[in-house]
Amino acid sequence: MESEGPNIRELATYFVLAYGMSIVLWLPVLTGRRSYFFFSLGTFGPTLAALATRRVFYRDWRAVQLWSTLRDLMSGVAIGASA
Amino acid sequence: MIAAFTAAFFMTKSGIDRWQWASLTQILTLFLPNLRGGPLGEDAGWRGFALPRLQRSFNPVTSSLLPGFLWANWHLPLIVTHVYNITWWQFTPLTMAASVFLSLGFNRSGGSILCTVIVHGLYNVGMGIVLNDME
Repeated sequence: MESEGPNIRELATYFVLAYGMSIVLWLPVLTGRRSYFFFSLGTFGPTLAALATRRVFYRDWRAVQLWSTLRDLMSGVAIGASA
Repeated sequence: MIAAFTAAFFMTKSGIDRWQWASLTQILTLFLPNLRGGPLGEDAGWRGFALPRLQRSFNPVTSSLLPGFLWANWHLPLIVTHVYNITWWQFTPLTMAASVFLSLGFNRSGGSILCTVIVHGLYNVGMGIVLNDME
């Protein structure tokens, strides 16, 4: 069960994994190979880190909420894009 | 975006006359391909995962600025190796500002990462107008 307060270990694990996974996935790009595929692959480090952290701490994969309601989605996009 | 463009205006060397305004018309064609280059892979982590957990302890602005700083520095390998043609001093405040606005949209949408993916994609495409001048 997820705790109510912040879990420092959980957040620290996430941040370390996000940095580490992306750097590893970006290695071809960072070593001179200008490939959009590998660049794009590295940007998925934070998502992979979120899934892995959730799995480690809660034994499930429900790391994020993809969707709420269409009305809230449109409202959020309007606010975010116009802020 | 207004705030981001204003910040970019004061940080560019030669002003708006060098900005690629024509690329505004390419937003629709650039938007979907651009999603693969950041929004789809990043927002589930920085906004979907980290933000709600930080907001349990901090106010929304602090909860946005902290991962915004870490999000900006997560790009550091790309800046150091000149994959991104921008300096750390230019990139970090812009990214932290974007983090606040993305968090605003995220919270307003009821915590939907689909919302932040869309807004992040719009930011990236829009910022293409000014990045060419931020060397």
